[in-house]
Amino acid sequence: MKASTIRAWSWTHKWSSLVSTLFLLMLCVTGLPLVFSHELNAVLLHKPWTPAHADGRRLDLDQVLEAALARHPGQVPAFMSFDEDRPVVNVTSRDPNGPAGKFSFEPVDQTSGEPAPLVAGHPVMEFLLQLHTDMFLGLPGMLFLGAMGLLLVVAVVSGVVLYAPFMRRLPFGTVRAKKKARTRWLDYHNLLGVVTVAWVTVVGLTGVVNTLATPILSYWKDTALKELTQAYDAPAAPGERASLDAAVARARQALPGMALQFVAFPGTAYTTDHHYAVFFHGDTPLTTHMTTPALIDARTGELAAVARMPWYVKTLSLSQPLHFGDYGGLALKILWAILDLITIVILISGLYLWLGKGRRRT
Amino acid sequence: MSRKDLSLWAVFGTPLVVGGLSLTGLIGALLDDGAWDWIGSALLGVCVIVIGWALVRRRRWASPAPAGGGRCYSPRRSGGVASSVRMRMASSTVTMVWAWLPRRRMATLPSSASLRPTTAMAGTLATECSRIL
Repeated sequence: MKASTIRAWSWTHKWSSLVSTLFLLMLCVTGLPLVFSHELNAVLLHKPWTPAHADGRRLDLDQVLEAALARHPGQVPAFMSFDEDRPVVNVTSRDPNGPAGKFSFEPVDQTSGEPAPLVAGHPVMEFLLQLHTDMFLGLPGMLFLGAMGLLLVVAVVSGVVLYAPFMRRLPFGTVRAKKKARTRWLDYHNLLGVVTVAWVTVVGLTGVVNTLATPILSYWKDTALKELTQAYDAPAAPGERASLDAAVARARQALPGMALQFVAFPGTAYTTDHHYAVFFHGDTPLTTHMTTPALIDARTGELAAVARMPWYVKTLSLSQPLHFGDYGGLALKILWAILDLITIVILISGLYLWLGKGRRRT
Repeated sequence: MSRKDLSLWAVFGTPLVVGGLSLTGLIGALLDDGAWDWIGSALLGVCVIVIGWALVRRRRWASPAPAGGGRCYSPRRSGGVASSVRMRMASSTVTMVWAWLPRRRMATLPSSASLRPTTAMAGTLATECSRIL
């Protein structure tokens, strides 16, 4: 490789890393507890609970919705989801005149309509998640972090290119422990970087895809679902909506054998202004992460369409487990955390090498 | 001491193998459950093991040979062994050995079946939506 080529790659590596390092450090630090969010929520929110009537008849979904909204007057439903291991339905609602992205979360005992204890969404974990997702800046924050993710990928690629000239005379895994600190840390930086390159690239790229969730879903609604919305002029108001319970039952008929995951109410990002979107997932490990919605006309309760997800929404769905590492049990999570810590060391050592270089020049 | 340039394969061979195993583990655990969760973790864990190997080798390489030459890697025994400072003082020469170390028993992945979450909350919509919205 020519000296000028190496200089160009070195410049690319330096600036792509420097610009993004602070934000990547924030993402790594906040991402660490988020890897164990399920376990931490279980510990932080642990509260013994049994349903009011374990063997009794369960309320239908309309009754559950009514009970949840009664505790949040003036709010409109956004989502409804279902716990697997207890008879609890979670209703997410929002103030129609409030700030976008601010939700209330109400777990409801389906046997009585009474509140059930939270098992997810501890305030500390929510704070970390929000910081990690958009730094409390909404869509601009998400897109900015996506740009930082792209810079990470550029830094990884340029780092791999530079690895060859740096290591052309050193066997793999060399750490020149007896040399001065800067040389030693350069070796650590190279070793840790090249060994974790696949994981860092996957987590970085899937993070970038996740930051594009809002534009991806908007595009899906504006293209694939456009025909479904053309028949109506105004959004379906809460007062003119058909029974939710009947809508879910109708959706189940359209997608037999699939598991109910959640319902998106009209006006949310996951559906149109005129349809309940009832999301189901498959029962194989792969299809568990991929959802298929049945769109039910919110006014008539009739099935409007089964909207098979296009490739870009499937990519978004698969990006989430690959980014968060929550799909392979506790062992995978522990590895995710270790690799996250290693990435922190890579970032700090890169910063140290740059600072050391500047000091040496002066 | 001058060294010859290594071939591209010598430079990138091990990182390529480790990267390939990591990707296989990441995707394998996503495509199947049960055994593949463990296989996937083990394959991804290779990169941690490789880093551990390099660090152990570094530490051993940093320790100079005992006086009188002989073995480069002196096993540490409890009692009667010179401290690393004294060893360094006693050592007249430092032998650099780049050869692959004898194989060591790697720590096995913890058997944490009992620690695995026994329940899955598919109703993670709040989490999912707050991640996305």
